[in-house]
Amino acid sequence: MNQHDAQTSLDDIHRFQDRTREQIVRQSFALPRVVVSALGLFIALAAIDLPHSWNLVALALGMALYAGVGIVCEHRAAVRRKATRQEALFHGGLLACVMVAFGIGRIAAFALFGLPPQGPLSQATAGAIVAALAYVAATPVNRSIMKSIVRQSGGTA
Amino acid sequence: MDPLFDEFLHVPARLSVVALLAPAEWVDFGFLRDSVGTSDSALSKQVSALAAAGYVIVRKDQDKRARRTYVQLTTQGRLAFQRHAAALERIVALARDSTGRPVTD
Repeated sequence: MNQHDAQTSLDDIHRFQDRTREQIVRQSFALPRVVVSALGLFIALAAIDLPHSWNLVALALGMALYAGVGIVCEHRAAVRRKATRQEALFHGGLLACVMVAFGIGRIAAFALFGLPPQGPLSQATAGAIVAALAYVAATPVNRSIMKSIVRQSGGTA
Repeated sequence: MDPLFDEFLHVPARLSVVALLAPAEWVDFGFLRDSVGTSDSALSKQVSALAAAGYVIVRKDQDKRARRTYVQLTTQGRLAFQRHAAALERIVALARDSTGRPVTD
C-alpha cells in the first residue's frame, strides 16, 4: 500500500459517501413530494376561514396529506436514516417560515384586495396560496440547507 | 502496514459498499448496485462476504409491488470502516510529512 493507492481509496470513499448524501437530499426534496406537501399546507391553512366543522375536516385533511406524503416517501426511499436533531429543528423552522408567509399573505389580501375573513375566497385562502408558493419556491434553498446538515451529521471517514 | 488497515475491507467493491452505507441507516440493494456500477450477483457476493464478517446485515421487505432488500452497516462494520479510513489517512499523512509536500497524481 503506497500513498497514492491510499489517497485514491480515500477519494473513492468520499465520492461514494457523497453519493449517498446526495440521494438523501434528493429524496427529501423531490418535486412530487414538495408539490403534495405544499398542497397539504394550502388545504390546512385555507381551512382556517371555512365555516365551523368544515374547517376541522379540511385542516385534518391538509395535515394528513402533508404528513402522509412524508411518511410514504420515507418508506419508499432508497436510502433511509433517522432524522437528526438539526433536521427536526430545520423542519420546525421551515414550518414557522410558512406560517409567517401565511400571515403576510393574509394581511396583504386584506390590505390590497379587501378580501373577507370568512368564506371560500377569504384572507386565509390568499395567505395559504402565498404560503404554499413560498414553500415550493424555497426548495432550492431548503435543499442546500439540508445538504449541509446531512454533510455535518452523516457518515464517518 | 498500519495495524488499523483492514485487508478484507480494502477490496474496492467492499470498500465502495461500506462507504455508501456509512452515511445512512438502511440502503436499498438497487441503489448500492447502481452506485457501485456492478451486477446483482457480483454485489450479492460482496454483501454476503460482508455479512459473514459481521460488517453488514441484510433485511428483505415485502412491498406491495415488489420485494426490496435493504443493507445496514453494523456497529462492528462502522468501527472497522472508521479504523480503515483512519489508516488510509495516516498513510497519506506520513507520505506527506516525509516528502514535505502534498501527494498528487
